[in-house]
Amino acid sequence: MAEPNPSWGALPPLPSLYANDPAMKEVVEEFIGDIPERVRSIRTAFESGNRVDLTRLAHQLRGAGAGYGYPALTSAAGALEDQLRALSSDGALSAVAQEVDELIMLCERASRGGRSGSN
Amino acid sequence: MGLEANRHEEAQPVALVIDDSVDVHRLLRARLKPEGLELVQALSGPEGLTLAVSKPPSVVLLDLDMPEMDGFEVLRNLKENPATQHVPVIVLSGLQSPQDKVTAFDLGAVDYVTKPFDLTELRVRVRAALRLSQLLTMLSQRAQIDGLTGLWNRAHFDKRWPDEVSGCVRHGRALSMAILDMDHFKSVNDTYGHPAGDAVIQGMATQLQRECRQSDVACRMGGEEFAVIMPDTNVEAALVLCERIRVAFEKQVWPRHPERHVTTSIGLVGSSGSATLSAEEWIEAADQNLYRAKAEGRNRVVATDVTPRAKLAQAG
Repeated sequence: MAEPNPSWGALPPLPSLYANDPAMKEVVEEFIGDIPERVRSIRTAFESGNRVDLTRLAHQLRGAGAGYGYPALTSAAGALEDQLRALSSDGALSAVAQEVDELIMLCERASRGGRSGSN
Repeated sequence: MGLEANRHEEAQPVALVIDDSVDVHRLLRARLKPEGLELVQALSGPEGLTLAVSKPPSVVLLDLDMPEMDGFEVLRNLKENPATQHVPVIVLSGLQSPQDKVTAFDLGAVDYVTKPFDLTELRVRVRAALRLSQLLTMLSQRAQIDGLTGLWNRAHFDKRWPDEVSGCVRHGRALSMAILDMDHFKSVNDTYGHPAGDAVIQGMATQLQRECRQSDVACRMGGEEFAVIMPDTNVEAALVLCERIRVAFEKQVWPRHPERHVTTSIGLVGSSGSATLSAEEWIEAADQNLYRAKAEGRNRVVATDVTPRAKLAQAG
Protein backbone atom coordinates (compact mmCIF):
# COMPACT_ATOMS: atom_id res chain seq x y z
CA MET A 1 0.00 0.00 0.00
CA ALA A 2 2.95 2.34 0.36
CA GLU A 3 3.52 2.47 -3.39
CA PRO A 4 1.04 2.83 -6.19
CA ASN A 5 0.27 -0.54 -7.75
CA PRO A 6 2.30 -0.77 -10.97
CA SER A 7 -0.43 -2.70 -12.73
CA TRP A 8 -2.75 0.31 -12.46
CA GLY A 9 -1.09 1.97 -15.40
CA ALA A 10 -2.61 -0.74 -17.57
CA LEU A 11 -6.10 0.24 -16.45
CA PRO A 12 -7.93 2.78 -18.60
CA PRO A 13 -8.23 6.40 -17.46
CA LEU A 14 -11.51 7.36 -15.82
CA PRO A 15 -13.03 10.43 -17.47
CA SER A 16 -15.62 12.59 -15.79
CA LEU A 17 -19.19 12.34 -17.08
CA TYR A 18 -18.96 16.10 -17.43
CA ALA A 19 -15.61 16.20 -19.23
CA ASN A 20 -17.19 17.88 -22.26
CA ASP A 21 -19.69 20.04 -20.40
CA PRO A 22 -18.50 23.66 -20.81
CA ALA A 23 -20.14 24.71 -17.53
CA MET A 24 -18.29 22.01 -15.62
CA LYS A 25 -14.94 21.81 -17.41
CA GLU A 26 -13.18 24.23 -15.10
CA VAL A 27 -14.27 22.68 -11.81
CA VAL A 28 -13.56 19.15 -13.07
CA GLU A 29 -10.02 20.23 -13.90
CA GLU A 30 -9.70 21.78 -10.45
CA PHE A 31 -10.82 18.51 -8.91
CA ILE A 32 -8.36 16.51 -10.97
CA GLY A 33 -5.61 18.88 -9.88
CA ASP A 34 -6.52 18.16 -6.24
CA ILE A 35 -6.47 14.37 -6.62
CA PRO A 36 -2.78 13.80 -5.82
CA GLU A 37 -3.19 15.77 -2.58
CA ARG A 38 -6.30 13.81 -1.62
CA VAL A 39 -4.60 10.50 -2.33
CA ARG A 40 -1.59 11.55 -0.23
CA SER A 41 -3.90 12.39 2.67
CA ILE A 42 -5.76 9.11 2.37
CA ARG A 43 -2.49 7.12 2.32
CA THR A 44 -1.12 9.05 5.31
CA ALA A 45 -4.28 8.54 7.33
CA PHE A 46 -4.41 4.84 6.55
CA GLU A 47 -0.74 4.19 7.23
CA SER A 48 -0.72 6.13 10.49
CA GLY A 49 -3.87 4.38 11.71
CA ASN A 50 -5.80 7.67 11.84
CA ARG A 51 -9.35 6.40 11.68
CA VAL A 52 -11.01 9.76 12.22
CA ASP A 53 -9.16 11.44 9.37
CA LEU A 54 -9.64 8.50 7.04
CA THR A 55 -13.37 8.48 7.69
CA ARG A 56 -13.62 12.22 7.08
CA LEU A 57 -11.68 11.96 3.82
CA ALA A 58 -13.86 9.09 2.64
CA HIS A 59 -16.99 11.07 3.57
CA GLN A 60 -15.82 14.11 1.62
CA LEU A 61 -15.02 12.11 -1.50
CA ARG A 62 -18.33 10.31 -1.23
CA GLY A 63 -20.16 13.60 -1.24
CA ALA A 64 -18.09 15.20 -3.99
CA GLY A 65 -17.37 12.34 -6.44
CA ALA A 66 -20.68 12.13 -8.26
CA GLY A 67 -20.97 15.91 -8.40
CA TYR A 68 -17.77 16.11 -10.42
CA GLY A 69 -18.95 13.31 -12.70
CA TYR A 70 -17.36 10.32 -10.97
CA PRO A 71 -20.14 8.13 -9.57
CA ALA A 72 -17.57 5.33 -9.20
CA LEU A 73 -15.64 7.49 -6.72
CA THR A 74 -18.76 8.18 -4.71
CA SER A 75 -19.47 4.44 -4.64
CA ALA A 76 -15.97 3.41 -3.58
CA ALA A 77 -15.63 6.20 -1.02
CA GLY A 78 -19.06 5.31 0.34
CA ALA A 79 -18.09 1.68 0.72
CA LEU A 80 -14.93 2.70 2.60
CA GLU A 81 -16.81 5.09 4.87
CA ASP A 82 -19.49 2.51 5.70
CA GLN A 83 -16.84 -0.13 6.50
CA LEU A 84 -14.97 2.33 8.73
CA ARG A 85 -18.11 3.23 10.65
CA ALA A 86 -18.91 -0.46 11.11
CA LEU A 87 -15.47 -1.18 12.62
CA SER A 88 -15.34 -1.87 16.33
CA SER A 89 -13.64 0.85 18.41
CA ASP A 90 -10.38 -1.08 18.65
CA GLY A 91 -10.56 -2.49 15.14
CA ALA A 92 -7.43 -2.20 13.04
CA LEU A 93 -7.53 -0.19 9.85
CA SER A 94 -6.01 -3.11 8.01
CA ALA A 95 -9.58 -4.41 7.83
CA VAL A 96 -10.34 -1.75 5.21
CA ALA A 97 -7.15 -2.10 3.16
CA GLN A 98 -9.06 -3.41 0.18
CA GLU A 99 -11.51 -0.53 0.15
CA VAL A 100 -8.70 1.99 0.46
CA ASP A 101 -6.84 0.33 -2.40
CA GLU A 102 -9.91 0.40 -4.60
CA LEU A 103 -10.54 4.06 -3.88
CA ILE A 104 -6.96 5.11 -4.55
CA MET A 105 -6.93 3.12 -7.79
CA LEU A 106 -10.01 4.91 -9.01
CA CYS A 107 -8.52 8.26 -8.02
CA GLU A 108 -5.38 7.46 -9.95
CA ARG A 109 -7.41 6.53 -13.02
CA ALA A 110 -9.47 9.69 -12.69
CA SER A 111 -6.34 11.82 -12.54
CA ARG A 112 -5.35 10.45 -15.93
CA GLY A 113 -8.76 10.77 -17.54
CA GLY A 114 -9.69 14.40 -17.35
CA ARG A 115 -8.24 15.80 -20.53
CA SER A 116 -9.07 12.98 -22.90
CA GLY A 117 -11.87 13.80 -25.29
CA SER A 118 -12.32 17.37 -24.09
CA ASN A 119 -11.23 20.25 -26.31
CA MET B 1 -36.14 57.13 -3.10
CA GLY B 2 -39.71 56.02 -3.00
CA LEU B 3 -39.34 52.81 -4.97
CA GLU B 4 -36.06 51.40 -3.74
CA ALA B 5 -37.94 48.11 -3.57
CA ASN B 6 -37.96 47.86 -7.34
CA ARG B 7 -34.29 48.71 -7.59
CA HIS B 8 -33.43 45.86 -5.25
CA GLU B 9 -35.28 43.42 -7.51
CA GLU B 10 -33.16 44.41 -10.49
CA ALA B 11 -29.86 43.60 -8.79
CA GLN B 12 -28.57 40.04 -8.92
CA PRO B 13 -30.22 37.89 -6.23
CA VAL B 14 -27.78 36.68 -3.61
CA ALA B 15 -27.58 32.98 -2.76
CA LEU B 16 -25.80 32.28 0.53
CA VAL B 17 -24.30 28.80 0.72
CA ILE B 18 -23.38 27.57 4.20
CA ASP B 19 -21.39 24.35 3.90
CA ASP B 20 -18.03 23.20 5.26
CA SER B 21 -17.17 21.37 2.03
CA VAL B 22 -15.06 23.25 -0.49
CA ASP B 23 -16.31 20.83 -3.16
CA VAL B 24 -19.91 21.83 -2.59
CA HIS B 25 -19.04 25.50 -3.05
CA ARG B 26 -17.09 24.77 -6.20
CA LEU B 27 -19.78 22.61 -7.74
CA LEU B 28 -22.57 25.01 -6.86
CA ARG B 29 -20.62 27.89 -8.35
CA ALA B 30 -20.34 26.01 -11.63
CA ARG B 31 -23.98 24.88 -11.66
CA LEU B 32 -25.66 28.03 -10.41
CA LYS B 33 -23.64 30.56 -12.41
CA PRO B 34 -26.05 30.52 -15.38
CA GLU B 35 -28.87 31.39 -12.98
CA GLY B 36 -27.62 34.98 -12.69
CA LEU B 37 -27.05 34.58 -8.97
CA GLU B 38 -24.41 36.10 -6.81
CA LEU B 39 -23.05 33.22 -4.72
CA VAL B 40 -21.78 34.01 -1.26
CA GLN B 41 -19.69 31.34 0.43
CA ALA B 42 -19.64 30.46 4.13
CA LEU B 43 -17.66 27.52 5.45
CA SER B 44 -19.24 27.41 8.89
CA GLY B 45 -22.48 28.19 10.70
CA PRO B 46 -21.18 31.27 12.52
CA GLU B 47 -19.67 32.67 9.30
CA GLY B 48 -22.96 32.02 7.54
CA LEU B 49 -25.00 33.82 10.18
CA THR B 50 -22.74 36.87 9.97
CA LEU B 51 -22.96 37.00 6.18
CA ALA B 52 -26.74 36.48 6.24
CA VAL B 53 -27.01 39.82 8.00
CA SER B 54 -24.23 41.78 6.29
CA LYS B 55 -25.09 40.60 2.78
CA PRO B 56 -28.85 39.87 2.82
CA PRO B 57 -29.54 36.83 0.64
CA SER B 58 -32.64 35.95 -1.39
CA VAL B 59 -32.09 32.25 -0.65
CA VAL B 60 -29.92 30.22 1.73
CA LEU B 61 -28.51 26.74 1.06
CA LEU B 62 -27.67 25.22 4.42
CA ASP B 63 -25.68 22.06 5.11
CA LEU B 64 -26.88 20.16 8.15
CA ASP B 65 -23.73 18.14 8.70
CA MET B 66 -21.23 20.79 9.73
CA PRO B 67 -18.71 20.09 12.51
CA GLU B 68 -18.67 23.41 14.37
CA MET B 69 -22.25 24.60 14.65
CA ASP B 70 -25.06 22.12 14.08
CA GLY B 71 -27.15 22.98 10.98
CA PHE B 72 -30.38 22.93 12.94
CA GLU B 73 -28.97 25.54 15.27
CA VAL B 74 -28.07 27.74 12.31
CA LEU B 75 -31.57 27.30 10.92
CA ARG B 76 -33.11 28.21 14.25
CA ASN B 77 -30.96 31.33 14.40
CA LEU B 78 -31.91 32.38 10.88
CA LYS B 79 -35.60 32.05 11.65
CA GLU B 80 -35.45 33.84 14.98
CA ASN B 81 -33.67 36.90 13.59
CA PRO B 82 -36.15 39.42 12.10
CA ALA B 83 -33.49 40.47 9.61
CA THR B 84 -33.30 36.97 8.10
CA GLN B 85 -36.50 35.17 9.03
CA HIS B 86 -38.24 35.62 5.69
CA VAL B 87 -35.39 34.30 3.54
CA PRO B 88 -36.22 30.84 2.12
CA VAL B 89 -33.81 28.15 3.34
CA ILE B 90 -33.05 24.97 1.40
CA VAL B 91 -31.46 22.36 3.64
CA LEU B 92 -28.73 20.09 2.24
CA SER B 93 -28.03 16.88 4.08
CA GLY B 94 -26.14 13.62 3.84
CA LEU B 95 -28.02 12.40 6.89
CA GLN B 96 -30.62 9.79 6.12
CA SER B 97 -33.08 9.92 8.99
CA PRO B 98 -36.68 10.91 8.15
CA GLN B 99 -36.82 12.67 11.50
CA ASP B 100 -34.24 15.15 10.23
CA LYS B 101 -36.52 16.06 7.34
CA VAL B 102 -39.39 16.66 9.73
CA THR B 103 -37.22 18.75 12.02
CA ALA B 104 -35.89 20.82 9.11
CA PHE B 105 -39.36 21.65 7.82
CA ASP B 106 -40.64 22.24 11.34
CA LEU B 107 -37.88 24.76 11.93
CA GLY B 108 -38.92 26.60 8.78
CA ALA B 109 -36.91 25.24 5.85
CA VAL B 110 -38.79 25.42 2.55
CA ASP B 111 -37.00 22.48 0.94
CA TYR B 112 -34.77 19.52 1.78
CA VAL B 113 -32.23 17.98 -0.57
CA THR B 114 -30.14 14.89 0.24
CA LYS B 115 -26.45 14.61 -0.62
CA PRO B 116 -24.92 13.65 -2.90
CA PHE B 117 -27.41 15.81 -4.74
CA ASP B 118 -28.34 15.97 -8.38
CA LEU B 119 -27.07 19.41 -9.29
CA THR B 120 -29.66 19.98 -12.01
CA GLU B 121 -32.40 19.20 -9.53
CA LEU B 122 -30.85 21.53 -6.99
CA ARG B 123 -30.76 24.29 -9.58
CA VAL B 124 -34.49 24.09 -10.24
CA ARG B 125 -35.25 23.94 -6.53
CA VAL B 126 -33.18 27.09 -6.04
CA ARG B 127 -35.19 28.78 -8.80
CA ALA B 128 -38.41 27.80 -7.06
CA ALA B 129 -37.16 29.18 -3.76
CA LEU B 130 -36.19 32.46 -5.45
CA ARG B 131 -39.66 32.80 -6.95
CA LEU B 132 -41.01 32.35 -3.44
CA SER B 133 -38.61 34.95 -2.12
CA GLN B 134 -39.68 37.47 -4.75
CA LEU B 135 -43.35 36.94 -3.95
CA LEU B 136 -42.72 37.40 -0.23
CA THR B 137 -40.83 40.62 -0.90
CA MET B 138 -43.59 41.95 -3.12
CA LEU B 139 -46.23 41.11 -0.51
CA SER B 140 -44.46 42.86 2.30
CA GLN B 141 -43.76 45.90 0.17
CA ARG B 142 -47.30 46.12 -1.21
CA ALA B 143 -48.48 46.69 2.31
CA GLN B 144 -46.19 49.70 2.64
CA ILE B 145 -46.77 51.45 -0.66
CA ASP B 146 -49.24 54.23 -1.33
CA GLY B 147 -51.67 53.15 -4.03
CA LEU B 148 -52.15 56.51 -5.74
CA THR B 149 -48.55 57.67 -5.97
CA GLY B 150 -46.35 54.57 -5.64
CA LEU B 151 -44.42 56.31 -2.87
CA TRP B 152 -43.89 54.63 0.49
CA ASN B 153 -46.85 55.09 2.82
CA ARG B 154 -47.14 56.17 6.45
CA ALA B 155 -46.72 52.61 7.76
CA HIS B 156 -43.34 52.48 6.08
CA PHE B 157 -42.33 55.87 7.44
CA ASP B 158 -43.31 54.80 10.97
CA LYS B 159 -41.19 51.69 10.63
CA ARG B 160 -38.25 53.35 8.93
CA TRP B 161 -37.91 56.62 10.83
CA PRO B 162 -36.88 55.26 14.26
CA ASP B 163 -34.26 53.08 12.55
CA GLU B 164 -32.78 56.10 10.79
CA VAL B 165 -32.68 58.13 13.98
CA SER B 166 -30.94 55.39 15.95
CA GLY B 167 -28.55 54.85 13.07
CA CYS B 168 -27.78 58.56 13.20
CA VAL B 169 -27.19 58.44 16.95
CA ARG B 170 -25.15 55.23 16.88
CA HIS B 171 -22.87 56.13 14.01
CA GLY B 172 -22.84 59.92 14.26
CA ARG B 173 -24.18 60.29 10.75
CA ALA B 174 -25.92 63.33 9.32
CA LEU B 175 -29.71 63.13 8.96
CA SER B 176 -32.50 65.39 7.77
CA MET B 177 -36.26 65.03 7.62
CA ALA B 178 -38.86 67.22 5.94
CA ILE B 179 -42.65 67.30 6.17
CA LEU B 180 -44.44 68.78 3.16
CA ASP B 181 -48.02 69.93 3.14
CA MET B 182 -49.73 71.42 0.10
CA ASP B 183 -51.25 74.87 0.50
CA HIS B 184 -55.03 75.36 0.09
CA PHE B 185 -55.32 71.87 -1.27
CA LYS B 186 -58.91 71.47 -0.15
CA SER B 187 -59.95 74.31 -2.42
CA VAL B 188 -58.33 72.59 -5.43
CA ASN B 189 -60.49 69.55 -4.76
CA ASP B 190 -63.60 71.65 -4.14
CA THR B 191 -63.15 73.89 -7.16
CA TYR B 192 -61.83 71.47 -9.76
CA GLY B 193 -62.95 68.08 -8.48
CA HIS B 194 -61.21 65.08 -7.00
CA PRO B 195 -59.55 63.89 -10.23
CA ALA B 196 -57.82 67.27 -10.35
CA GLY B 197 -56.78 66.87 -6.71
CA ASP B 198 -55.42 63.39 -7.43
CA ALA B 199 -53.45 64.73 -10.37
CA VAL B 200 -51.83 67.33 -8.14
CA ILE B 201 -50.92 64.67 -5.54
CA GLN B 202 -49.39 62.55 -8.26
CA GLY B 203 -47.57 65.60 -9.55
CA MET B 204 -45.97 66.14 -6.15
CA ALA B 205 -44.94 62.48 -6.06
CA THR B 206 -43.28 62.89 -9.44
CA GLN B 207 -41.39 65.96 -8.21
CA LEU B 208 -40.18 64.04 -5.17
CA GLN B 209 -39.05 61.11 -7.28
CA ARG B 210 -37.26 63.47 -9.62
CA GLU B 211 -35.45 65.48 -6.95
CA CYS B 212 -34.78 62.89 -4.29
CA ARG B 213 -31.71 60.70 -4.42
CA GLN B 214 -31.50 56.94 -4.29
CA SER B 215 -30.88 56.92 -0.56
CA ASP B 216 -33.80 59.24 0.30
CA VAL B 217 -37.11 57.81 1.50
CA ALA B 218 -40.11 59.71 0.12
CA CYS B 219 -43.47 58.93 1.74
CA ARG B 220 -47.03 60.00 1.27
CA MET B 221 -48.30 60.34 4.83
CA GLY B 222 -51.92 60.80 3.86
CA GLY B 223 -54.11 63.32 2.04
CA GLU B 224 -51.87 66.12 0.86
CA GLU B 225 -49.06 65.50 3.34
CA PHE B 226 -45.66 64.01 2.47
CA ALA B 227 -42.46 63.28 4.35
CA VAL B 228 -38.93 62.79 3.12
CA ILE B 229 -36.17 61.10 5.10
CA MET B 230 -32.71 62.12 3.92
CA PRO B 231 -29.99 59.97 5.47
CA ASP B 232 -26.40 61.22 5.45
CA THR B 233 -27.62 64.72 4.64
CA ASN B 234 -27.09 67.82 6.76
CA VAL B 235 -29.65 70.58 6.95
CA GLU B 236 -27.90 72.85 4.44
CA ALA B 237 -27.98 70.22 1.72
CA ALA B 238 -31.52 69.23 2.65
CA LEU B 239 -32.59 72.84 2.41
CA VAL B 240 -31.27 73.05 -1.15
CA LEU B 241 -33.22 69.92 -2.02
CA CYS B 242 -36.44 71.15 -0.41
CA GLU B 243 -36.16 74.53 -2.12
CA ARG B 244 -35.78 72.84 -5.50
CA ILE B 245 -38.90 70.80 -4.82
CA ARG B 246 -40.83 73.85 -3.65
CA VAL B 247 -39.88 75.92 -6.67
CA ALA B 248 -40.50 73.18 -9.22
CA PHE B 249 -43.87 72.43 -7.68
CA GLU B 250 -44.86 76.09 -7.64
CA LYS B 251 -43.95 76.50 -11.31
CA GLN B 252 -45.81 73.40 -12.38
CA VAL B 253 -48.72 74.02 -14.77
CA TRP B 254 -51.72 71.74 -14.26
CA PRO B 255 -53.57 70.73 -17.48
CA ARG B 256 -56.95 70.70 -15.73
CA HIS B 257 -56.50 74.21 -14.31
CA PRO B 258 -53.62 76.01 -15.99
CA GLU B 259 -54.62 79.29 -14.41
CA ARG B 260 -54.25 77.90 -10.93
CA HIS B 261 -50.88 76.95 -9.54
CA VAL B 262 -50.42 74.98 -6.32
CA THR B 263 -47.77 75.60 -3.72
CA THR B 264 -46.41 73.70 -0.74
CA SER B 265 -45.16 74.54 2.74
CA ILE B 266 -42.25 72.59 4.13
CA GLY B 267 -40.99 72.03 7.67
CA LEU B 268 -37.42 70.78 7.73
CA VAL B 269 -35.14 69.57 10.54
CA GLY B 270 -31.59 68.35 10.09
CA SER B 271 -28.33 67.54 11.78
CA SER B 272 -24.70 67.17 10.74
CA GLY B 273 -24.00 64.59 13.40
CA SER B 274 -25.51 62.56 16.23
CA ALA B 275 -28.47 64.67 17.27
CA THR B 276 -29.82 64.06 20.75
CA LEU B 277 -33.50 64.20 19.80
CA SER B 278 -35.73 61.16 19.97
CA ALA B 279 -37.59 60.06 16.86
CA GLU B 280 -40.77 61.71 18.18
CA GLU B 281 -38.99 64.96 19.01
CA TRP B 282 -37.66 65.18 15.47
CA ILE B 283 -41.20 64.85 14.12
CA GLU B 284 -42.51 67.46 16.53
CA ALA B 285 -39.77 69.86 15.50
CA ALA B 286 -40.51 69.35 11.80
CA ASP B 287 -44.23 69.82 12.47
CA GLN B 288 -43.55 73.07 14.27
CA ASN B 289 -41.50 74.32 11.36
CA LEU B 290 -44.30 73.38 9.00
CA TYR B 291 -46.74 75.32 11.17
CA ARG B 292 -44.44 78.34 11.06
CA ALA B 293 -44.17 78.05 7.28
CA LYS B 294 -47.97 78.15 7.02
CA ALA B 295 -48.26 81.00 9.53
CA GLU B 296 -45.59 83.08 7.78
CA GLY B 297 -47.35 83.02 4.42
CA ARG B 298 -47.06 79.47 3.00
CA ASN B 299 -45.08 78.40 -0.07
CA ARG B 300 -41.82 78.35 1.83
CA VAL B 301 -39.36 76.16 3.68
CA VAL B 302 -38.69 76.69 7.39
CA ALA B 303 -35.62 74.81 8.56
CA THR B 304 -33.86 74.14 11.87
CA ASP B 305 -30.40 72.71 12.48
CA VAL B 306 -30.45 70.40 15.50
CA THR B 307 -26.77 69.53 15.40
CA PRO B 308 -25.51 69.45 19.03
CA ARG B 309 -23.52 72.62 19.80
CA ALA B 310 -20.35 70.70 20.64
CA LYS B 311 -20.32 69.09 17.20
CA LEU B 312 -20.99 72.44 15.56
CA ALA B 313 -18.07 73.97 17.46
CA GLN B 314 -15.86 71.11 16.30
CA ALA B 315 -16.85 71.69 12.71
CA GLY B 316 -15.88 75.28 13.44
